[in-house]
Amino acid sequence: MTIADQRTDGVLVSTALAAVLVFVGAIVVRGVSGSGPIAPSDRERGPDELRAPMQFLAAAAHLRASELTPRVRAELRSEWSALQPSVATLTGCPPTAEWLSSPTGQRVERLLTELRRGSREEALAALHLCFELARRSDWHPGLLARTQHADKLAGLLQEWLRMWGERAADDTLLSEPAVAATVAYGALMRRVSQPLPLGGSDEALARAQSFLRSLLLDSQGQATRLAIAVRARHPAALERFDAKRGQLEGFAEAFEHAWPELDGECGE
Amino acid sequence: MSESPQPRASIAARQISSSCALVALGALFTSVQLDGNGAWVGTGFTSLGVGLFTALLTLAFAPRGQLDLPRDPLTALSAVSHLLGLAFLIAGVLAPGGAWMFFEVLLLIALLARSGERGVAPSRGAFLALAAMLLLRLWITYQGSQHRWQLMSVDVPVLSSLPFEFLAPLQSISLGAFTPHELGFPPAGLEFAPTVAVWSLGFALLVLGLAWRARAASEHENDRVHAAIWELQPNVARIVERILPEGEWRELGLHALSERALRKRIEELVVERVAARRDLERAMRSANLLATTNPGGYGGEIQQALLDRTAE
Repeated sequence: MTIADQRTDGVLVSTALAAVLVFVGAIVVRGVSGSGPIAPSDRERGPDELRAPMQFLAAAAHLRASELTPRVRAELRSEWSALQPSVATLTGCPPTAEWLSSPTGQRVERLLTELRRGSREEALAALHLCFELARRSDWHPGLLARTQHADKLAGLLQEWLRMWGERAADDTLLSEPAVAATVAYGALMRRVSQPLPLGGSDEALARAQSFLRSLLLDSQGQATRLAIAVRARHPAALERFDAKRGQLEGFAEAFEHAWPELDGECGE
Repeated sequence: MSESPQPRASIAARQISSSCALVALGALFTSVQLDGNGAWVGTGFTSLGVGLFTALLTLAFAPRGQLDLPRDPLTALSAVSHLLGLAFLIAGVLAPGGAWMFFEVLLLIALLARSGERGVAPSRGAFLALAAMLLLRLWITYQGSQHRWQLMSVDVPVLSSLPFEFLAPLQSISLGAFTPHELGFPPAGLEFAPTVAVWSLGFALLVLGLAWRARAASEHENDRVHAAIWELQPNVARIVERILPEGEWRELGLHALSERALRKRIEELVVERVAARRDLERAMRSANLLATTNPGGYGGEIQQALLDRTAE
């Protein structure tokens, strides 16, 4: 046997052995079963990380608001300390867009912009302010179909989601708040696009659909991490998103179910 | 023409082992899927079991050809690769569960058994049917990834255009409904794009590998026949190869025979063909070829008389 023949035999034997091993691997790997979905919020957190972040969006959020203060960067801390209580103690249920046009409201809007650009804790603080504002201001369209207030509030959530939506989906601190913000945005835009039982604004609906699609679907039309999290937490929210009518109804129903006190009329 | 069978045999043998590795790689790719947690998990044993059963039935009921019995580790690997490759190929295109799968199995058995030949890759028509089934599987997987649990939804004319919510259940008809359980999705959901890419690659490798293996196995058998013929004196071997052309060896049943049976069969065929040729030559020699041009009748009788005179 020549050296060439020996080399040929070596190649032949090693290829045949590789084929056998890969066949065994193919059979074994078929039996590998996957584990259940692991939500980012279930993953291990850092020792200093804020616990139960959804409490910062709940009705009693003001009780924990002080925990956020040391996590806001120094140059914003005084503004945060001054404005957070003013939003949390807002009385009289002023119309949202009008209050945001007031001197304090403008300061809050500027603070929101700065907080959105900051750390994850600052992003949570921004969302906390949005939800507090939604809780204590009037954005219900009413019989006169005044949609500008809900539209303004949805705009604040949209900016937050545009900045944090994709990143937050995998974040142990922000994943659940991001889901809440998405559902709240869909529900608010449902009010904007259909303030009364009949008629409605196709432009607002198209705007909401376009933004939600960019948020919930990737470039290949598949659900993003955020969409999977929304579906897992609020299965009804996306149920009719691809339907011909009532695309945002699922968001409205899920929002109403999860935050019944956020009715746009300060719970009155 | 001084031919040496050894190098040719090595090349064919190496092609067999390489094609088997390709088939195995295709089998591996069709056996995995990427779940929502980003982990590779298996596609389960159910479809593989059904695929193996279907492959065995297909081989058992194939109308033509002999089953290649393994004679050494290489031919054993080749035969096992063929069977497993077919099983993984079928498992890879089957709907993962439910009534769909059993309907597809019946269709596949009918198609593969009718078009197949034992030990040979499925025909082009059968591959096309398998590709169509893969497409169906990818489509229902896509529908499932979009949380649409039906093959398709057809709008009912007129009713679907009415803007009344209470008519929603009547506005469209679901065709081919299935459940997430039937699709065999992992608990954490399926990453559609990478999984489909891997399945399609696996299918392509299996088809390519099976076709290559069949060709290499045929070449390997031809090498054996060639080697058996060239055990004779070179001049005799050349004559035998002219009597039994290489292109006919498979049809003449020279493949997949034991060493003794192969030599016996070559001997029988040579004796048979030489005898037939001798009979033909004798018949040709004795025949009066000019008689075939005789038109008969008045002119023909005269022509025949003159020919008989010439022959005398």
